[in-house]
Amino acid sequence: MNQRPTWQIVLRYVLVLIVVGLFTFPTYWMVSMAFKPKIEWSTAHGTIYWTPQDPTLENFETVLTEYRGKFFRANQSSALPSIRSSIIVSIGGTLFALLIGTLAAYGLSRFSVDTGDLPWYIALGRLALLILVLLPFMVLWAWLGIIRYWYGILSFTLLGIGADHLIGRLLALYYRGPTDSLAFSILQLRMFPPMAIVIPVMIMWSAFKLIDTWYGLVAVYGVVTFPFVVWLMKSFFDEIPRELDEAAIVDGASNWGAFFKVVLPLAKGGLASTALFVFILNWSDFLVALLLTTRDWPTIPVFLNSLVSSEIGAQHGPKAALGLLAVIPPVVFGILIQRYLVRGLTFGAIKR
Amino acid sequence: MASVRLENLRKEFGSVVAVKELTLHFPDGKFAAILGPSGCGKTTTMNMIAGLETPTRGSIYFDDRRMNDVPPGKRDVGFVFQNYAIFTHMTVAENIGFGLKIRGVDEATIRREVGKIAELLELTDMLHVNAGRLSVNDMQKVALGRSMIVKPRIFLLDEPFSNLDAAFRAYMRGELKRIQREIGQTMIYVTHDQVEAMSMADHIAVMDFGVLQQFGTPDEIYNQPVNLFVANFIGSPNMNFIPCYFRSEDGRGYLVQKHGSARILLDDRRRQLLERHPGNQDLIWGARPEHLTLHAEPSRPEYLQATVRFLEPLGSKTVVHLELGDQDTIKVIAHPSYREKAGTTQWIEINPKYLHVFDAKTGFVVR
Amino acid sequence: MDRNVAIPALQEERAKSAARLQRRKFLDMSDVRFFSASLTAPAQYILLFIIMFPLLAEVYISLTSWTPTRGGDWTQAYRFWDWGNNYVEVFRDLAFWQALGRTFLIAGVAVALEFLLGLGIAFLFLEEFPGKRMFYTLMLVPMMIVPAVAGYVFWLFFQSNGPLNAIVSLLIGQPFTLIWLANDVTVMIAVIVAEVWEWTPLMFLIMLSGLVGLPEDQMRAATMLGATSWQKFRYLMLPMLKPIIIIALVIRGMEAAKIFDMVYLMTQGGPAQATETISIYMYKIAFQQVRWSYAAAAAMTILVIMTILASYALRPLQTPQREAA
Repeated sequence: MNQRPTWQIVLRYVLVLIVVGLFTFPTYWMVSMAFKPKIEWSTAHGTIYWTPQDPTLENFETVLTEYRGKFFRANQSSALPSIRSSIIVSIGGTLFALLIGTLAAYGLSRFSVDTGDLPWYIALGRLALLILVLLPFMVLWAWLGIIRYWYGILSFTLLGIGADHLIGRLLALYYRGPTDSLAFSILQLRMFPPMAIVIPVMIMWSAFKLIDTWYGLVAVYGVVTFPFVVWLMKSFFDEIPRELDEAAIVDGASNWGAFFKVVLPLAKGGLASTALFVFILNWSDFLVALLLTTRDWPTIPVFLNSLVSSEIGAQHGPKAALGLLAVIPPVVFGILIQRYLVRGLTFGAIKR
Repeated sequence: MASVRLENLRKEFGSVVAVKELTLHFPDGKFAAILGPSGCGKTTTMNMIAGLETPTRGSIYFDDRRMNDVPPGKRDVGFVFQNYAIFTHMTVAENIGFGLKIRGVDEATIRREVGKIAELLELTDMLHVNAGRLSVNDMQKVALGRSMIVKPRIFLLDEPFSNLDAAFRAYMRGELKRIQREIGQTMIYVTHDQVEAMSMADHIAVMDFGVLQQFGTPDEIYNQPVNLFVANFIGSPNMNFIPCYFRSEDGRGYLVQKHGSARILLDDRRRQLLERHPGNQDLIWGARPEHLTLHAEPSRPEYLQATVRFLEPLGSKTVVHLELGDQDTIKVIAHPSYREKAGTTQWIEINPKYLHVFDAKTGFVVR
Repeated sequence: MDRNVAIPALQEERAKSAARLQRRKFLDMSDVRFFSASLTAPAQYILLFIIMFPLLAEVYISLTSWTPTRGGDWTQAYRFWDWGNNYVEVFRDLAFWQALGRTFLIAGVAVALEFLLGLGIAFLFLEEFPGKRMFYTLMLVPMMIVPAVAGYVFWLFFQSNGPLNAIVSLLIGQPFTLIWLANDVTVMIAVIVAEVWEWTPLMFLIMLSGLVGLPEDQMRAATMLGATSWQKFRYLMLPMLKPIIIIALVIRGMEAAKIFDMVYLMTQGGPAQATETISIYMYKIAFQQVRWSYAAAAAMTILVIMTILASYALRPLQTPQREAA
């Protein structure tokens, strides 16, 4: 192409610097705050400190150790348990999501005639029918008093799944078109504000005694993030030619053999990126952990929130230090998988 | 319409020299082809004429105006890309009319002009088809029409037919030639396909490694190649090359095969020429397969003896591959009914009019 | 050859294979249909499991006036059976619709800004320049910051004694002490700025990948026809990027409508209800006012609205534009 005139090159450079500067500044502010001693935290003394004048690790120390009556509440616990909690539930949730998501993705990639183009009135109509059929049973189960126990919920859910199948068959008799679509429901699940379904989930989790346990959070994280796994892994599987599976099967492998020995190793890179991506999502969650944990397993964001909303003083430094600790893993992983970030966040719709 | 003149044009990409000191004059209203293998700098030359690339050195003139600093959109040049670069989100009509639309021409005029072009290119039926759905053949026509509508002074085509199917390619060659004649358009055409260049162009510039090898009419290029590259590149099957040296005996000049005993008697003009040539012990003679004839008997002494190795029947003709001497193979075009078996001895007649002698060191023809 | 030519041996074979197909085992493990079903089954059933009970429980609660504070556990809610009164109340509840409107306002303005900024920045990064790699990576950092932390960062940023006011003071040369988070208008600006900051990088990434993928020869063809940069943008780039732009807007809009973490940490929905998005509204109803049955009715209303929106919004994400992208 033609050389650009110098002024254009300079102008672009200036613009890039301004833009990158603006977008980096808030992060920078947190990072610098994390290393500032107390006196530099705010402008209370009339000056603002753009850089830590007297860098210190005191804030990290404060937030990572138990302090009695010094900074926050009378008895401030350290952030270490919440860091441990974040690590465990994020990894667990990621593995769970990968397990169910990868299988479904392969199924959708190879065998699906699922167009995913489900009209809303069918989706809603199906749901409405289901609710009409099941509501009396719900009341009955409630009257029987069994639904507060795990077996009550389980039996009710099995009944519901049966009813759902019947309704699907029934609809298919009268409506020529897709009446169900796994791909669509998975995507649709992402559209709902999680807040809208959190009350009954809390009820269910308390029935299963899953509230404030690591496995309870792992289960929710797995379910919440597996749509991403499905769409992301489907896009990776779609890139692997179908002929390879067929060749493996012709050579005597079983369907499962073709999947585990041929396709999955080829999608290894994609699987790793997906894992990191889902880890970032789980790690970043605040809402689910806020509602489903109380004392034992709050994650870092929940702990941070408790610090922020605590009444005692503007403890900027320790909070920023905790924020910095919370931000390091996702930023590092995010940079590692930057090629796939777009693909992940657009459900595989944009591939580059 | 305008003529195009390139003066000492040079283009470097980093340390790679794509075009070396190219000086060329494409006459006004003629059809010129730039021919060469891929990577020879022909597309770069084209892009420089269009203004899509800036030359490192040298000048480009349209008629007498220096164009180096004129932006591509203002050069009044039509450009047809190898992959057509059709705007797939528009209809055929919108594609063709694009050049006028961005010039702010009013709708009615655009419609009229598009209609004219569509008629010329037989696209009238598909004006409202989405251009992304067209066949490759029709895309080609749309690309032509889109460039034609703004009536450029110079028309540049970058391998426009290489993706077309064979039958349509032959048809489009004829059509393009017809259109060019009709409007007397200056056209410059880049191709690696010698048949295209030979059949369409008034002038051909043969390039290799960024260097102009020869510029001339198709006839000159074919019959008077200036060097081994051009001689080898033009013609299919390509020219036979036999390493040889010059020998003078009893006042007669011969070209003697290096790896065998085949001798060719030279006429006086050639003999004198070669006698004076300093490198006359290291020569190559060349002759096109179509200028050789096979005989069953050595009815004349100057025929060369050769052994048939295999036949390559092509339907309208048969290419006979023979062994001449120890290592050299030679191809001869024979009648399709030719049926001699491998191992048969044959006698080759060379038409001295079509014999080319090259210096093996420099590669240039001796003249 | 006619396929139905009667060759006895062949007919027999055909009949046999047809019978074999008929007599397919009830559970044929080697059947590919079984294989494909067993791949998707876990996802399908976990989806049903996680949706079925909560959905029904939510409907059930929403039809009563039960709350945890009203005695009895939730299974006893039928004692407070209330038919659709909660829904009527939701429809009459100004705060609900205001929260919904506010959510769409924040999402709309933020996503529009993200799109414009993202596209503009993508143009800056289209050509090579020294240090591009580093600047590019720096640009991506905000989207990887945990939203809750980002909420805290912007809470810091917008403090009256925070860096923003300090910068403004420097620029205007006199002390500037606006309390951003205490004013109905500026707090909205603050929330939108935070949202834009966090997610413009994603838009930027999407737009950059779109721009890089644009066919170069078509741009050159337009150049040759004399198109100006603006005309190329208007007539070529925008239409060609359209599928990608739609996908990006839909997905960002969808996610922005769920906004909770950042706003909650910045303002907790305040001052008063100034930044109460639908998620925060429901959080307050359910966990501060403990009106569970009412919150359930509001949630059901939102589910219906979102289902309808989703089926239209998600259409561009499906074939055939997926391929075009």
